[in-house]
Amino acid sequence: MFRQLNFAIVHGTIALLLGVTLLLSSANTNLTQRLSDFSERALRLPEFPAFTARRIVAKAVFWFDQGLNLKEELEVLRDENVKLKVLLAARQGDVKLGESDMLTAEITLRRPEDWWEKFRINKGSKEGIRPGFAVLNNGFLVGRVYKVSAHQAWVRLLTGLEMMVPAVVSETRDLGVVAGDGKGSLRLLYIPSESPVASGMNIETALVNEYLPAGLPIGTVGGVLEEKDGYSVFVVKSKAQLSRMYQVQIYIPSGGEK
Amino acid sequence: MIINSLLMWFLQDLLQVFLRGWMLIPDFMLMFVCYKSITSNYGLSRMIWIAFVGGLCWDLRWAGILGLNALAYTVALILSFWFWNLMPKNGRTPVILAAVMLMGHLTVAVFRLIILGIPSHYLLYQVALQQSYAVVLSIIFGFVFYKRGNKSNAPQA
Repeated sequence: MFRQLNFAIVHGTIALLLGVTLLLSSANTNLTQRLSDFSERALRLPEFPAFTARRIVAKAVFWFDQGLNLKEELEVLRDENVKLKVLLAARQGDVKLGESDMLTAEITLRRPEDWWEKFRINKGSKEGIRPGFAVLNNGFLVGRVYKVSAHQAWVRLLTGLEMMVPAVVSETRDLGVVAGDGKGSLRLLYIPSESPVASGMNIETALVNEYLPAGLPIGTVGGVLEEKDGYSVFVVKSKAQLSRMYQVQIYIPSGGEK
Repeated sequence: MIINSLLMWFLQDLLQVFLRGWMLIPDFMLMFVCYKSITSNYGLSRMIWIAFVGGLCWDLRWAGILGLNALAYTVALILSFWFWNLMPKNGRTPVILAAVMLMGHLTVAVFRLIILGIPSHYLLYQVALQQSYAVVLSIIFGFVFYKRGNKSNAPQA
């Protein structure tokens, strides 16, 4: 009996040490990411029944339980969509959004330690996604695609420390940069202190490249965070549901799809 | 035992896929392994490695951090086994078993929160709900233990 217990203590200690070693050495490495992607691919077939059941249940809930509410919501969203398209067309003459310009993708992995930095979606190059494409939620820019494989892609969030997006305040045409603080908040930088930018004004993207066109809504201006060297830093209020994102829309520019 | 644990893991995975975004599934693969280590005479060493590998597979599939759940599952299993064996034999009731299993499950949740922090209040709410489902599962395991006549073949510490 004691021999068995001693064995258990040895095995338990080895398992604990191995666990600690893995935990300390594997966090945020490419190998972990690759292994994680591989396991997702390997389990795709055995998990297929659950995915199918989920889709059926989601559809049933959609049609039977929330039909009326969703219909009303759909109307509002349709109006917003039309408004968005008009805004885009007005802001940027050469970009025309068609029916297939927005691709909906599900978030399949959002690692807690990178919560405000990045996440993975279930659409990839086979669906026409390329690095640099804009990612929206609730009609507002939340990030950009930075890594793409055949059936999945990684998105870098606007709230992360590594993302900066040139932006313009719609009402005053002041140019600045929207950046994240790594803790879930957005800031608007480099706005001259004498500028008339005020709380409640709309912020949208300034032209960066063909993948991230001008006029994509980012949020609205909040209060002044600080003033330094003649420039103000404003809080940006995004209407995207950054903490409760399950789906996102990928903006595929004309000619971007395969 | 390994096949049963694998099936439990797969069932847990399927339910997580099915309910992703709606709720967090309790770790019933861990609860199953804890239950078996407490009530059966499978070697604890073997159970430790089953829990470790199960946690590691969960890390690969869902957490994206190798070692997080592997370590948590191992700690939870060892703690559960230890607490159970602290009890005198006549005190090992179904209620105590349910409490020990719930404690094991709670250990994993607390461990994850310590390592990962609390990304949002919504997630914290989901973790709290997950623990409430674990309470139900613990009661079920306690009931099974009761129906089987409170037999514990586990080696004594």
